[in-house]
Amino acid sequence: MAILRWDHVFSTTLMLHNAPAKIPTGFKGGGLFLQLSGWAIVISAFVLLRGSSARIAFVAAGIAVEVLGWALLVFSYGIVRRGGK
Amino acid sequence: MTEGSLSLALVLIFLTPLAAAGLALINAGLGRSRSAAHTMLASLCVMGVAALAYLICGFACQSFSGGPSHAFIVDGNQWSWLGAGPLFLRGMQWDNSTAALVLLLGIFSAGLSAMIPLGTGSDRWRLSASLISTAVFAGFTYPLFAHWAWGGGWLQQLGVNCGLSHGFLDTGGAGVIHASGGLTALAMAWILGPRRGKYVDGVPAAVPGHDGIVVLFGCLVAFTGWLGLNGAGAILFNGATPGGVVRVAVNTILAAGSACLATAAMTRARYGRPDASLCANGWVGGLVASSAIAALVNPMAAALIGAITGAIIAISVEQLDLRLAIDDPGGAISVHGVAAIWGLLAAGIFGSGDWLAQTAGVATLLGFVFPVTYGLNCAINRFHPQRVAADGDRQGMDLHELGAGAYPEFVTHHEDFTR
Repeated sequence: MAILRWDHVFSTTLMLHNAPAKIPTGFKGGGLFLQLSGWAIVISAFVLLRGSSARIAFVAAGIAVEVLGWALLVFSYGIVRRGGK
Repeated sequence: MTEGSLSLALVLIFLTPLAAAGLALINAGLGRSRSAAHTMLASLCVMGVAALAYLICGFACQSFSGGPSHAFIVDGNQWSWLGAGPLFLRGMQWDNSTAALVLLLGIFSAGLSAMIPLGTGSDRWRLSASLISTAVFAGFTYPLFAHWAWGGGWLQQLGVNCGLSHGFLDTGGAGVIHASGGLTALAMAWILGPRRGKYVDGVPAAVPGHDGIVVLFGCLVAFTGWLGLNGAGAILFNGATPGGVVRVAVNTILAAGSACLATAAMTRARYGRPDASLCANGWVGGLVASSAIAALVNPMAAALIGAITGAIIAISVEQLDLRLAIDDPGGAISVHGVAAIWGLLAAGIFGSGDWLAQTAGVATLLGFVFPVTYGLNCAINRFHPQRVAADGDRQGMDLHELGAGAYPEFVTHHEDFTR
């Protein structure tokens, strides 16, 4: 009686190559730096500013910088997955 | 806080390990059968390491509202940035006080939060590396944000110092537990890379979970735990009365149920029939969102927020996989990270939270917690590689790391298989 093991089925059908991701250091460092910078702007807005409109404007600016950092990280990860440098 | 409320909080805290149990079942069920035992063992070990790290320095960093802390003063306003409690819980009063209950809830919550990335790292994250990562997370990253949000830190002080209502509100731990865990899961997904064979020329292959029943049962177990988590959090961090806890429980089931139904409707509309594993993700995502809103909104708002959460989960899981090539077998990034951030923002939009304070909390999670947890895990990866060797990828984590599979007699007879 032939016996099939799921483990073997999976390992033979899915034995393809995917190397662990290595995000380019420059992009990665830049993205993380922008995220931290954006957060620093946000926290500064609360600690240093008094007026509510100025505070909101600085918080918005800080979040925009954070978004840039995220975009850079996601973009660099996409480059790696597509096999680029 | 009355003696009755504190006693109720103690009982509710005893339910919270069920959230971890449910999460462990979900992670195991959504992974491959050849890594199931590894996932369950990792969950147990992670709980143990998290408890130890939290005992050694975690609670000292977190502290509690009114407890000792490091602070700086600007323009006469005091900004607390780190707890200053004694290490190893020295001098702890073992009574029914708020401090003791916050400690107990913190031990369980740190373990639950550290367990979240296991779902993402399923099938490829080494056990020893996950435990080192957990020690760093539960000893530093988690308590730091927990101090800011729960322990009288600067996010809570936004209310007093900046006139933003009660400051940042996160009564059930959506940010402290789930968003920080979900963001760590994203960091691990990027550091570990996808499972072998998941993406072929950029096209994702479907790798279904091995046991849908375990996943769905895990959802029900987790729900019980969430009732305890949200209820205890509402008492300890929002001063809820026993009557208020009833509203929290009602909002919890409404958010989870609506999220599950919305995901079922979304998947039916997109694929022609409801997808069980995505519906399970929707259910847990609703629970996660409820952690942010359950004590702050009315039931109709909870149902609406839950439904939006379910729709977001269905889209997010798919987009992370298809467009961003992020391999997340347990869906932890969407379920815990995305849902928690949406819940925190929704608490400011629909509930009694201040939207600017909630935005500050979310900005802190995205702009501080993620880079820190990513950097720390990259550092760990340098001296102790986190991803299993290629053999482990092929054999499965059970055989490779534990020497035995979870289902040693799990065979399929040919006739049964082809019938």
